[in-house]
Amino acid sequence: MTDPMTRLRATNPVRQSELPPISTGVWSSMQDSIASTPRAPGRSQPSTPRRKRLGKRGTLSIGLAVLLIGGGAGYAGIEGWFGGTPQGPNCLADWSDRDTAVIGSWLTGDAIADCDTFMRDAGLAPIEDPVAFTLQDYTYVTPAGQVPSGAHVLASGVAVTPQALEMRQSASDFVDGGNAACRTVPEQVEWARAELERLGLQGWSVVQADHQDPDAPCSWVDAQEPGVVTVGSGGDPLDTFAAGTWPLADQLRTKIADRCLTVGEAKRLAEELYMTYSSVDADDTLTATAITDGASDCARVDAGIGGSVQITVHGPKAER
Amino acid sequence: MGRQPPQQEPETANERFASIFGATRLPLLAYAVRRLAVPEDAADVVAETFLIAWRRLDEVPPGEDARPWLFGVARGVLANHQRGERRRIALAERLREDLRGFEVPRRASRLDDVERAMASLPDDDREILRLVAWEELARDEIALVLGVSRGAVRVRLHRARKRLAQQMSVIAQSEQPAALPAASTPVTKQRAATWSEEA
Repeated sequence: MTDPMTRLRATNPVRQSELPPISTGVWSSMQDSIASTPRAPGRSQPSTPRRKRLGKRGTLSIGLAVLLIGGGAGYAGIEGWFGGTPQGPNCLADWSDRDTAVIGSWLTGDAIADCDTFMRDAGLAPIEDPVAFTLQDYTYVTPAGQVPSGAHVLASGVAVTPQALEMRQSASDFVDGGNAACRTVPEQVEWARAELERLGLQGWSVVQADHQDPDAPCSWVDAQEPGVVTVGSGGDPLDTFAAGTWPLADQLRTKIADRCLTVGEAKRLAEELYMTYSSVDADDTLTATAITDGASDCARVDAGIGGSVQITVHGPKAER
Repeated sequence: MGRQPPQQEPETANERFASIFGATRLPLLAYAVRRLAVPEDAADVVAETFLIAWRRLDEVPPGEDARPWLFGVARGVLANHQRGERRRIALAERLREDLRGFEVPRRASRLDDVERAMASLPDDDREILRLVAWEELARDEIALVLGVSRGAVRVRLHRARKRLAQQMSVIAQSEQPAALPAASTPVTKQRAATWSEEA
């Protein structure tokens, strides 16, 4: 067999030489337009290299990617200069030193609690006297006294309600959720509506993505945006996920979802099953997130992949 | 006493940006086109990346490190784009026009086992493998793009290559023709030969 990397090179969809001709005027216009915009104030010290550290639960300690907030008709209206991840809390021990932020996907939806976990997983001290706030669609946790003007403080620390978070996790779940089977777009829409009903999420809508591929055999579903579940055509999850995902999914389904366990039992079992059946390196470990749901009789499990596996179990503390 | 070399004028911000822009605009455009379903969307990614570079020009590393730094920014912009946070940027409109209608060339090998194997790998593996194979970045440059150490790149790349080879092997095995009874092929051939002799 030819070297895999040689073969991968051959799959390059567009070589630079195959790009369509771009006129010099287009480039010079873009360059001039950009160079006529205001620049950020210079730094007296050279910037330090960005750090990124992978840890449990796919936690990242990462220099915050600088994003353009706003956009739309033009760049002149861009005022904010923040950034991070919109899919979880951005945890900063010092608001003025954003290169040391720790970020990750939501675990419980409580920004302060999730930042506590991420900081611990990253081997860092907890944020002192933490305050959670949102700013331009991002959620941050910083020490009290460092909240910037224009921020909306979350008194309870909760940025995503448990039901909304479970909808997100269920949408990406490969055990029995949105990624567990090849559904057509109409089937996925029905599935999403049933999930919204199960979770009591009233007022949410299920919409179809703008671009649908008529040749795609299956579909994807996304619930990251509060109040909206989006469904689009896509590939078969069986082909999309690593082969090792499916034995783990089967085990989580038969040993947790199909049985009646407490949340504690489900968490322990999920962590054991991950170690036994996941195809990752032996030195990898996983800490499942346990969320107590006193109204439920039995634990349920969601497992998704976003760089690494994240498993969440919801269920009663004790047998009922 | 030798003549002093002429004092070089410090490069202005505009000159530095022009130099970076000219050297990286095509590699960045190709990078974005490769990773987007709609090629013209690459115009917004490129424009946004250069806007960030301009705003943070003091942080752009000097010399050849500027290129991987820009790839790192573009990677973040792409990630936001793929999460649905699309921004139409006015100054990208002309580039969008030039990209409109561009179709990604079809390759005979596009749907072969290496692509299927890649599809089954985690995102991090796919990205690091593509940075090597498609962007032709060196290990040091990938470390800058991903914001990790050279050692981490080496380990991640080793593991990703291993997993790619494993997946290709699994796919190759699963695509072998359904196993026939061990004796059937030789028997058929023998019989065919016999008939031939009889004929």
